[in-house]
This record gives sequence, structure tokens and C-alpha cells, in this order.
Amino acid sequence: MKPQDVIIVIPAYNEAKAIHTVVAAVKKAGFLSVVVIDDNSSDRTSQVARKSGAVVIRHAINLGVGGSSLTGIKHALTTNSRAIVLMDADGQHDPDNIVTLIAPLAHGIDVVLGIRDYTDPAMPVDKKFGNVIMNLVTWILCGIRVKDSQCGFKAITAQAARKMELNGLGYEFHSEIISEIRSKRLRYQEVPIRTIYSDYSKSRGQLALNAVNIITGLIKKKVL
Amino acid sequence: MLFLWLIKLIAVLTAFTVISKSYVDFRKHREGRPMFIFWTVIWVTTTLIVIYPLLIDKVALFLQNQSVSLGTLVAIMFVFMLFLVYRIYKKAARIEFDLAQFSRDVSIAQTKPRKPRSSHEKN
Repeated sequence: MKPQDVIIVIPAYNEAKAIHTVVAAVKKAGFLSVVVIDDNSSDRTSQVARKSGAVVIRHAINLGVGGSSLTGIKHALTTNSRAIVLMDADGQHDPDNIVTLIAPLAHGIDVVLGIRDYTDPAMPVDKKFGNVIMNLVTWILCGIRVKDSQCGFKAITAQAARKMELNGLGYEFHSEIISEIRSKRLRYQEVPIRTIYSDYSKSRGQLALNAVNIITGLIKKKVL
Repeated sequence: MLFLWLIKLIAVLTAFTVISKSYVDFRKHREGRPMFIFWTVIWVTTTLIVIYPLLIDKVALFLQNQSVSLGTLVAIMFVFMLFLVYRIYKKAARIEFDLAQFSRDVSIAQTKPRKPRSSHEKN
């Protein structure tokens, strides 16, 4: 799959400090189609992302990381892109890994999930614990045992994205994708990725306690 | 006695309303099959308990070997509580979904290049 067939979707909320570096690095890696979903930030995220050369879609209200990712996916499906890559806006993901992430898509895989290295001492202990719990919960509720259910770095073919029925607004969105892999019988693969833990990226992302919200969201999706 | 029959009647009507609404939502694809089945089971069970309160006693006797007459009253009150929670939840979930969808569609539409206005529109 060529870089021009891929669209990079970056959900962002108050990421004015990091968004330029992320968009510039993605473009430097050869992926020119970048869309930043500004989830109604109160800082200059939209302006900075636009200046960096990204297409910017700004929400009129804050929808959450899941809602933003879904906006990005819906926008991507209106373009000619054959694959969609979701990545975080805090600079945690290495754009050089995009090539590794999309490689399996050329071999019949529908969804590629990034796996962070849990043995990395730089990974905060509370996040490590929260991720382990969420992997277990995702396994129980979604029926697939994955190594990193909450990783925001993933690649999906446009064809698979069209089949998915996603509506989670929060972080449960990540587990929802796994649930859809099972229900739509999609083929998936897990790929190790490099994670960049800076002071900034550590201060961003979800709290371990957010696991409660994710579990509630997943139960709502499954039962209600 | 009349009061009890009135409560039973209200409970049956409430259950019928909820199940009907749920079925309509299910047919219109606004509600998933698991949700429809879940609420139907809940409401049928609750209605059965209201109509035959002795069911509670029988269950209690089976479980603890003693009668719990207060359970009947609790079950009747539970019907109304559940109804309120169910309707509020459903309404809130639908509004949240619609709002997210609307906000998303507007945001995406704003990024698309606008079509040039026709000469008719200019005049």
C-alpha cells in the first residue's frame, strides 16, 4: 500500500503545544494526507494544525476521543483513501511506525492494532495497570484477547471501516473496534510499536481510573 | 383491594407501553436486538411479579425458607422506578447520539469546498 493511499487521522484536544511536531513528523515520514480533528479545543490547536499543513475539522462541541476518531474515519471515507491510520496527537506515537502498521493491510488484514511495550520502564505504572485491566475487560466483553486494547495507534482498511458500527464517544471506542472485529468477522493483526514517553505525553492521555468509564461504556454498548 | 388492582393495571399498561416502544425502536433500527430482548425480559418479569406477588414469596421461601411480604411492595415500587430510569436513559442516549452525529456532519461539511453559486442565486 502506497503512502498516498493512506489518510492519517489525529484526534486532538488542547494539543497546540504538540500538534505541529506530530503533523510535521507524519508528513516527513511520507504521509501527506493528514486530518486533525480538533475536539473543540480552547487553545490554538486548529490554527497550529492548519499552519502545519493538515486538514482540520473542528467540532462545535467536545465529543471525546472516540467521537473525534469517528469524525476522522467518516471524513476519510469521503476521500479516495484505501486505509486509515489513527494516531495520538501528543507525540506518543512514532510516525516511522506507520509503514510497519499498514504493511499487513496489503496482505488481506483488515485491522492492525499497535502494541505498546509494557516492559518499557518509561511506561507509567498506573497506566500499565489500567491497560492490563482493560485488556481483561475487553477480552470478557468483546471476546477477543488482544495484547493492548487501549492503544490509539491503529490502521484500518476503508472497506473494514465502512462495515464497522461505531458510536462510542470516549475511550471505550478502542475496545469497540475490537468488538466490531469480532462481530463483523474482520481479520486483524497486532504489531509492536515504539512509544515515545516525554513529560508532555505522560501528562496527557487517559487516567487509569478512566477504566471505570470505559467499562460502563462497553457494558452500555453490549447490554443496552 | 381496588387500589391493588389499579396498581396492577397501571403496571401492565406501563410494561405494554415500554415493550411496544422498544419494539418500534427495534424495528426502526434505533435499538439493537440485545437491548430489545433485555428490556422485554425485565418488563415481562416485573409485570408477572406485580400480577402474582406470591411469586416473590415463593422465591423467598425457596431461597430462605421464610415469607417476605414486604417484597411485594418493593416490587411494585420498583416498576415505576425502573420505568423512569429506562425512559430517561433512553432519551439521554438518543439525544447524545443525535447531537454527536449532527456536530460531526456539520464539522465535516464545513471542511468541504463550497460549490460556486449559480448566476440565478447571485441575483
